[in-house]
Amino acid sequence: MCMKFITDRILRLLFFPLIFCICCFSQNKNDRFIECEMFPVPEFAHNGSGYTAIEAGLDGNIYVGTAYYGSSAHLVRFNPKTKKWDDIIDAHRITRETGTGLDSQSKFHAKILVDADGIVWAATKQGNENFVDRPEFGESSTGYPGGHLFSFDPKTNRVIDHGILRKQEGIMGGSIDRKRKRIYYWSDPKQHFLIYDIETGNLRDLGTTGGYPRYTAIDNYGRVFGTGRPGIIWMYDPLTDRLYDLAVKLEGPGKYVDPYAMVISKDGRKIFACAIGGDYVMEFDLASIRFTDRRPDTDGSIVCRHPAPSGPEGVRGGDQHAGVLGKDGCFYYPNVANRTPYLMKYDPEKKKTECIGIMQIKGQPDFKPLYAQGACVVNDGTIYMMFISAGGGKMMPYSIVRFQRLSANRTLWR
Amino acid sequence: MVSNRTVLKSVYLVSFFLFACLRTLAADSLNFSLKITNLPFPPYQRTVAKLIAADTGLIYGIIPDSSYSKGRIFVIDRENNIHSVSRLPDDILQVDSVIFNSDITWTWDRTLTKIITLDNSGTLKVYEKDGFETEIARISGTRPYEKNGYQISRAFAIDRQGNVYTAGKNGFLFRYNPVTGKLDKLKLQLPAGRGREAWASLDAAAISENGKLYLGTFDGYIIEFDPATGTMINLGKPFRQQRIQALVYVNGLVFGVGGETDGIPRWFIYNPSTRSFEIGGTLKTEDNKLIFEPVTCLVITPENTIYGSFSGRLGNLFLIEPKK
Repeated sequence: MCMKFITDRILRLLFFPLIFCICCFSQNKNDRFIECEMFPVPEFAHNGSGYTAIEAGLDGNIYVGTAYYGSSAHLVRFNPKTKKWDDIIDAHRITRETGTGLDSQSKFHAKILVDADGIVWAATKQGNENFVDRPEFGESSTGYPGGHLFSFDPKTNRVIDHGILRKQEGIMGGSIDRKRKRIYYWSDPKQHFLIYDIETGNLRDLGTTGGYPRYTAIDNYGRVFGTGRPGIIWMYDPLTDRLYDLAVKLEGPGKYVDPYAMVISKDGRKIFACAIGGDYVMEFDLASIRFTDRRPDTDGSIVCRHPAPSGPEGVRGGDQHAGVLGKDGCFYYPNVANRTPYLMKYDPEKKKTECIGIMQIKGQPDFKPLYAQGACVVNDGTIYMMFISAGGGKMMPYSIVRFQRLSANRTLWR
Repeated sequence: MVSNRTVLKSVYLVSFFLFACLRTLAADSLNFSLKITNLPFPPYQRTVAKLIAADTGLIYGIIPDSSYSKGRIFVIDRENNIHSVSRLPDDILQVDSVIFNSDITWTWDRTLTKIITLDNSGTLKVYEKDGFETEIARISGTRPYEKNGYQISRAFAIDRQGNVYTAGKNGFLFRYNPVTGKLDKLKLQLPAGRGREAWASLDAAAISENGKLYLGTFDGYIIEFDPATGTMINLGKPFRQQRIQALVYVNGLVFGVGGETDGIPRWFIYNPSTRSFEIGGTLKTEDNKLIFEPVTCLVITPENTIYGSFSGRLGNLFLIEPKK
C-alpha cells in the first residue's frame, strides 16, 4: 500500500516536468532561437547601413566598412576583447574629396580582404545610385570620381590611399590571391573585372563580366568565380589570364537562381552559394568545369547541384544576402522568410541543411536582426554578421552580432 | 472707349498665348522615345565594326580580326535571326585586308564597288575590284603630346552626288570624288575649342532626306553641312562630354549616341526644323538594362528601324524602334 502510494506520488510529481520536457524536445526546430551578442557600430560612422565589408583581421579584430549615404564612408575596427571601436578610415578625410549625394565615397561595399602579412584592404563606391539614369556618370556637373582602394597596416597603423581603380566607377566584390599578391574586384556599374597587383600597384581591366556578384570566390589554383549574365558563372584563370563564361548546368531539383552569396569550400573544390529567393542551397562543382561544352555565347560549362532546401522545413525561398564558411567546413547563411530571421547551416558532408534557429539579440528580444549584409568567421569558429538598421517592431541599430564559437559546433541554445 | 493700356494688355495676352501654343507644339514634335531590344549574340566577345543595310532588306555586319579569332561577316534577316556568312553579296566589294582590320577607317562609296580608307598614318586610299589599291594623299596631321598621335577621323560622310567627305589635319574637311578620283581640301574646318583643332576629327555622320550632312566630332560637336552650298553650321554640343559615337537620320530627326568611351553612352536627337537638341539619357533596353559600353555603329533600315552595336567583352547588337 505504502509502496503504491509512493510510486503514485512520484509519478504525479514527474508527470508535468516530463510533459514539459517532451514539449521542449519536440519543439519544431524552426521555432528555436539562437542568441547572439550585438555590438552597434558607432553612429558617427554611418547612417544606418553597410554591405559585404566585414572581415576578421589577423590581429583578431573585426574590420567593418560602413555606408554613409551622401557623405563619407568609414572603415571601423572592433576589438572583441575590449568591445571597443576605432575609426580607421574616413574616406573623404583621406581622399580629400568633398563629393556629396551620388558623387560621394559613401560605401565600403566590397569585401574587406586581409593579406598574409595582416594588411587590410578596403575599397569604396558611390551610394544612392540612380541605377537607370546614372547622372553621376559623365553628365553631372561634378561626377563621381571613382572608388578608391585603401590599405591599412595594423602593425604601423598606417593607411595608404592607392587611388581610384576605375574612373567614375565604384569597387565591388573582392577576392585576394595571397600567393600571387593580387586583389580582384569588379567595377560598378560597368561590371569590369579588375586585377590589382599589390607589389607593383599596377591595375588591369579585363572587361565586363556581365553580372553584379556581391561575393566572389577564389579557389586553391587562384581561379576567381562570380555571378555573370543570367545562368552564367564567370571564371578568371590566372594561368591563361582570361575571363571565361561558364553556362550553369543544374543537377537536382528546383529552378536555378543566380547566386548572391558564395564561398569556397574548405577543400577548395566546391563553391557553396545561396540566392535571394532561392529555394535551394547551391554547390558548384569546380571539377565539373568543361570547355568542350560550349554555347555560342559561352566558353564552357559548370555543374551546380541543389543538395538541400535553403530554408527551414516548410519555408521556401527567403532573403539570403550573406554567407560565410565556418571553421567546421559548413556554410552558414541567414534566411529571412515572413520577417523571421533564421540562421541556416549547410553541412557538405551530410548534404543537408539545418535551421540553427531564429536569430535573437541577447538581452534585446524586441530587436529583429532581419537584414544581414555580410559575415566573417574567426579562428575559434565564432561568426560575426553585420546587420543594417531595420525594424520589425523596435528599430535595431546598424550592428555586428556575434555567434560565439558557432562554427566550432558549440552553440548557445535557448 | 478702350484705353491704349487695355489694348496693350490684350496684345501681351495674345502674344503670350501664341508663344505658349508654339512651345507646346514644338515640345510635342520632340516627343521621341525608344524601344531598345537586345539581340542574341553570336558575335560573342567580339566588336561589330560596321553594319550595312543592303537593298535586299538584309543587314550585314562586319566583325574585325581579333587576337584570338579571325574576322567574320554575319547577316541579320528580317526576323532578326543572325547567321554567319563567308562573303558579302557579289555586288558589294569585299577586301578582307581592309574590312577585317580594326585600325582602318573605311567606307564603301555610294555604288558599293569601291572602298575608301584612312589608315592609321592618316593616308587616304581607294580599293577597287580584286583588291586594287591606289594611294590618294596623306590628309592627317599629328596630335601634340600624343605618342602615336595622328589625327585620324573615324567616319566618312557621303553626299547625294557620291562625294566622300572626311576631316584631316586641324579638322579641315576633304572631299573625294570616287568617279574622278579628285581630292579637294575644303576651306571648312570642324569646330574646336582653342588649341583643340588637332582633335577636331570626324567620328560620325548621317545624311538627311534633303541631302544635308550631319557630322559628329571627337570633341562632341554636331555640325550641319550642306554640300550643295558648301555651308557649315556648328550646332553645338549635345553633351558636356566629348565624343559623338554614332549618328543616323530617322523620321526627320538626327539620332545620335555620344559620350566618352570609358563613360556610359547617352542618346540625343537634333530636330532640324526647330534647331534644338533633346537629350534622351542612357540607352535602356526593354527590361531596363543599360548599355554601358561605347556604341560602335548604327544603321537605319528603310522601315526606320535602327540596328546598332556596342563594344566590349560582351559586345552585343541591339535594335531600336523609334516611337514618335
